[in-house]
Amino acid sequence: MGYNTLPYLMLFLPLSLIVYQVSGRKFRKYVLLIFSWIYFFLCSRELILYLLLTSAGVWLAGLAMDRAGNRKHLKTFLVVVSAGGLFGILLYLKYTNFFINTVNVAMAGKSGWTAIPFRHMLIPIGISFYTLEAVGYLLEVYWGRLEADRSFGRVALFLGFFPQTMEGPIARYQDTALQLTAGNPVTEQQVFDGVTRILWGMFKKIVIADRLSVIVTELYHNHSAYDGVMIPVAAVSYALQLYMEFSGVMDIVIGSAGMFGVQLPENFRQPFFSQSASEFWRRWHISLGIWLKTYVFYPVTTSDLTMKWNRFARKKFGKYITKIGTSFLALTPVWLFNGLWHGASWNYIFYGIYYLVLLMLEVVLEPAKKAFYKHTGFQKDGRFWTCFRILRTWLIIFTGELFFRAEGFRAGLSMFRSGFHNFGIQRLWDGTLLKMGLDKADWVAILGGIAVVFVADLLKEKRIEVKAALAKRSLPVRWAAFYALIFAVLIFGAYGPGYRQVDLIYAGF
Amino acid sequence: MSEIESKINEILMEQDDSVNYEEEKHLIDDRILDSFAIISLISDLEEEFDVRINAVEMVPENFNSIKAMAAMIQRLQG
Amino acid sequence: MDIKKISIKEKIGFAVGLIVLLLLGSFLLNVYAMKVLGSSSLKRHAAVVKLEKEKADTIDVLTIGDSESYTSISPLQIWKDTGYTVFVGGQSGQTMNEMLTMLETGLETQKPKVVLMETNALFRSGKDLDQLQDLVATRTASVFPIFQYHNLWKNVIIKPNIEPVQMNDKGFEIRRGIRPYKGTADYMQETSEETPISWMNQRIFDRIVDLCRERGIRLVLYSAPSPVNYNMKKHNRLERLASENKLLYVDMNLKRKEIGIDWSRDTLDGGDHLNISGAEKTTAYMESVLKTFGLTDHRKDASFQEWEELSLTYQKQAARYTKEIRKKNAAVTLTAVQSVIP
Repeated sequence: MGYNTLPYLMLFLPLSLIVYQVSGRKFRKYVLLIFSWIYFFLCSRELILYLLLTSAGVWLAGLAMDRAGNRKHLKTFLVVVSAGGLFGILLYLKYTNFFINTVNVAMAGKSGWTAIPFRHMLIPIGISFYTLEAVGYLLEVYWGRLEADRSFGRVALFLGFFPQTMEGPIARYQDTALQLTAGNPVTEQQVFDGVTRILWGMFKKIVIADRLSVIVTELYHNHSAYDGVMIPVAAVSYALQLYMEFSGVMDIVIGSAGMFGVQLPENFRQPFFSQSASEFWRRWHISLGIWLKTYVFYPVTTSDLTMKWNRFARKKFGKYITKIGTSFLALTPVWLFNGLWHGASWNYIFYGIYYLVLLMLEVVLEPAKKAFYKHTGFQKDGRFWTCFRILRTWLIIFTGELFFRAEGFRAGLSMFRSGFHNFGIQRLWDGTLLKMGLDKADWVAILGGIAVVFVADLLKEKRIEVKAALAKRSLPVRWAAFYALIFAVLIFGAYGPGYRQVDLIYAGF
Repeated sequence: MSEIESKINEILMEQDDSVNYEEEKHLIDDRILDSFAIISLISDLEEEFDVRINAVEMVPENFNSIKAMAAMIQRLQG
Repeated sequence: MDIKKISIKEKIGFAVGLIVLLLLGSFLLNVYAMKVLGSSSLKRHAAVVKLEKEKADTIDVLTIGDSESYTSISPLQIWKDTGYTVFVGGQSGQTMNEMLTMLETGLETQKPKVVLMETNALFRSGKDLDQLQDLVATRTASVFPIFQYHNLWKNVIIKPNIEPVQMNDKGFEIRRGIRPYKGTADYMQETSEETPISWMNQRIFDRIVDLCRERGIRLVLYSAPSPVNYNMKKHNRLERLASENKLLYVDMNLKRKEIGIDWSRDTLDGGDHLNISGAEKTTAYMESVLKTFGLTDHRKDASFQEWEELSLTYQKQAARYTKEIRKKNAAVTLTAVQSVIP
């Protein structure tokens, strides 16, 4: 039951809000928990056992670590077993077949070797997301930054809260746990803000993303039939589809949670205004970035190994080389993790390495960049260079998403290569684009929709609050604005005959 | 400003001298120090003050201002 | 925006305004939709409108189902032979939901004695949740047609390709193409297994049964001959479904010898749908079933003059196409023979 579907928006969400509201303050957290489990059950049926066991395990491990007190070794043992167990389950469910395939390919042709058959894996919804949340909680307790929660219900709700189930955001315990069990009544304001945000998310999802999905599916599925300019089209279309879809669903998710008075962390901050790859990752899927920074990057940066390297290299090679080495040590696990987290496939691993290389380049070129601006006297923050850096970042993003979406790493490579053959830019306007399942009107909706989102993002980037600005306008203007949003979704939405409802992309990771 | 604080200031100025660090209270939250800057900062601090900064210390509150960093160093030197 | 500062009057005003706009938009789109009923995006809906436009209380037999229905029962042939009035309310890929909607639409103006339900849609299933979505969507759209017709905005940008709507075929669609079915002749092999029917489809089916019972309508299940869509597993399930509800079930897949289906010429697309040559045979068979129900022969009734006229036009067209198919089939067979002979 995706967040973009009518059963969720028209039945599940309103029903849960009503039951929540009519229950007493003390019971509201149980209402949320029960609805969250129902939601999970509706999505994954008996696989809810994974969630229940994870919740119980995490709760118990937290308490046990608290009990262990100063016995450092016992604590370490507990965190390794519990977090390791969670990753073990994730690894087993998501990577078994990848592993089998790799072994099969490696052993193929050897005499006496019979290929291991693939296993049919049933993967519970959102396991990639709640596993990270669970491990984060365990580490916080381990480090003593957080006291283990005695309440099983709260831990379970933190891991299972239904708006976050499918696609995150990956919250930290301290971000949401107390809000979830506060049991405050739903206010009119919350409903209004939630509905507005959900509408905005639906606009991005069903007006833009679901249309782009048509051409993206065609271009990537039949990729060998396309070359030249169609490759950049594929890259840009997918990057935009993913942004509209993921950020749109986040709007629905954050809007839904907000109605219960739970403020979830934001996952996007106008990523297409980023001026570098590293900035892009601070603005795109922010909650994953923060998780990786907190629980992978910093622990590695402050590890004994890194410290030893620092001491050794500083004397031998000086600060610059030391920093390059340290960055490499800390970024490699981050990006391998990022790639692998998305799924067991070589193109995701490549995607991780791709950003690793780019971020390393940023570190390596840092002094050269400084020198460049100093010697040429160019204004670093001048309009030209800012635009240049933004466009360069787009190039990086689009190329990355091409490999990310390609059906396998090989397909990605061959698509990338064929982008340089037979460019044929006239295909952008000679009607080729109209033969891939989208008609002229669909393209108008896509481009118009993107323009609207661009303006909205630009205003946000300039810190202009559209809603606040609207509040100051006269009644007809305000009404017109809301009617416009509602009818834009109703009329231009890609639903009904001729359109297929598109499943949530990130729910698959 | 204490001795520790002025040393930290020196270290920071070495990295980027365009910021008035003494005034800033939100070096992390306002993204004046990004994670790359933190990498160098940690090793500088560890060397300068002969302390060991563990993962557990890696929270914004410890790095948001020179004062906060100094407090952390003092605690670690303990 | 601070919602507390907004007066209750304004809130109500906003809500009323929204409903008025929805109704107005729905009304305008509805008017426009009737004008461009022949455009491809409305084809499925055109079937509903056609049924709505039938003269009240004239249809004795209402057929519902997916494309298997409107390629297997030809009302005007039945008229010619028996004088019964049959209407086919079929839509390509009709879901159970849409089937129920079609039936309800029909019952608004008609008092059919018999409802013939083509069974293929019973096995059309997404997940239950998708079907729930479908249900919510259909129900919302019936209140606010704007949800149904919203894609017509495209006509502002693209010139719509509107074919004239055949208002006089009583829902049947003549298919003249021919592509033989080449699979096993014995696709109805004996088995005790059953193909399950989804929970949601079962619920809607129950509703259809209830609706017919309330109105005293005789509900008959039938399966059009189609090796692509049917097998013994489905037959077994349907047989059980029929006996549980005490309904007559006619599986033409088991009667194909009697009916005389010839898979080399009677199918449009390799055993999925029938063409006119096949449909003539299944229609004739269905006539024999209907004859046992004591329906009225309207041929002598002057108020059904329209049917007689339509029937005459239809017979000519159908005869021509059938002949064409026989010829084509002969040509196909001939080339097949030639390719065997060196």
